[in-house]
Amino acid sequence: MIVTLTPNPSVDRTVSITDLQRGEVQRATASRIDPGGKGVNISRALTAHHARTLAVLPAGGPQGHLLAELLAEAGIEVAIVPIADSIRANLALVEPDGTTTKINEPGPLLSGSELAALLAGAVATLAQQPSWLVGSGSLPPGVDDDLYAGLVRRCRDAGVKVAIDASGPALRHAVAAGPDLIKPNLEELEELVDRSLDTLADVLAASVEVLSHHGVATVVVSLGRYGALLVTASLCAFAVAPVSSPLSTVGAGDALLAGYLYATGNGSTAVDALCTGVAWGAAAVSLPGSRMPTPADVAGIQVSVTSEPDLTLRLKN
Amino acid sequence: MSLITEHLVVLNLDSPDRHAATRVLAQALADEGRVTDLDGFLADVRKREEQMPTGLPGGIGIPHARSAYVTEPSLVFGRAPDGIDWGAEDGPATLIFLIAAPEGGGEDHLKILANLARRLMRTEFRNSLMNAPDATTVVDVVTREVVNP
Repeated sequence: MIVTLTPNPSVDRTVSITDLQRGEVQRATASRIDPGGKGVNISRALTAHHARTLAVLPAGGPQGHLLAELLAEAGIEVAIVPIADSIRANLALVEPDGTTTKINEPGPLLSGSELAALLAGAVATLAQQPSWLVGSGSLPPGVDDDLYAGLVRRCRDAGVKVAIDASGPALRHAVAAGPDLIKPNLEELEELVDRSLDTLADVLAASVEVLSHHGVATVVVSLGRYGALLVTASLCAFAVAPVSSPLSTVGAGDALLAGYLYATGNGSTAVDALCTGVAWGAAAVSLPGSRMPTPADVAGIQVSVTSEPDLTLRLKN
Repeated sequence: MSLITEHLVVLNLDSPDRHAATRVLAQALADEGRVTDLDGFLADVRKREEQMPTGLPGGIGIPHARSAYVTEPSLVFGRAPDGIDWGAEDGPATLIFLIAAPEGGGEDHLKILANLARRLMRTEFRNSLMNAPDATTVVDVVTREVVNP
């Protein structure tokens, strides 16, 4: 089983319009609602692959009930920590050419006891010895930046592997606690090492730095259309899969991490897991909105992998 | 068939607690033939309530369940002038929406929940239900704002 913790989940409403005009009343041509949040996405991808997962998340307010229903609908096993405030309702306005305008609410204010209950909810799952526990996504406003760091320490004490997918101070604190895996994208890794990373060589150097300074065992950097780089103390691998008709990059990084964890949980080597992750990520890009790929979506995808990538590859235009 | 009708509106709900109140609202569904097993349905509602209390700030209760005992998507509205404790921290609920969805049905109840979630933030919507003189007015307001917005 893979446990996900999503401290700041959301209900994502995607509204299609003909073109966005400020200050005007416009008719929506279509709308859909999806459960949102990075850890929630990982659990959705795993569920779509019939893998056991448990999503730990706070929920409150009318949007919280809607989220709980959406997750029940998708057949996702959840441990909901009830909170008084309402969770986020995020809005994406999509124009016909794919231009997307997103409006994300900050998230609920959690009381001290609600936050403690959330962390306790995640920690309680450790007794079941999950193959991984993943902390993923932003923290609600007012929550201390060391939430994930505390989670990492609890997992290590329990002998459970822990992965963190976060950004900014939350990621920096988590890294200092030495998680088994982090999955930054290029911007997040740049922020972590506090410098611009223009080539694959720069990304490799930054990843090695994170490994050696902080005791992170595995770094998987998602690089969008360029692919993903895996770095551990003993190996480096770079994998990419072509996507012929990209529809939405929303949630692609979450699918990638889900695929990686799924594969390692089934006994794959790190390099094979990277390929699985890249395939899931590419499949997600070919699906609309934050839809997560099923085995059928992943089946046709060809991943090429190398341990000696071209390090001069430029990652910015 | 309509999600809500005059027969699915209870304007003077004065039950001692939320379980009794939910039973009154569910009975309206059973009377209309929309619920085949009252106790079975109530057990499903309670299961959802245990996962997450359905009392919301602002005097609202939204008990809901997807249940094999529901024959069609339905919405029952109850108004409790004296308020009934629904588990919300800021006080008892006066406006209660019981949402019933059939097992394996479509996404109707998700749309209802989504629209309710947005409308409930608005004081005007709550006031128009608070002050509605009769069941017909309630059905009109709910249909306009929640069912076909």
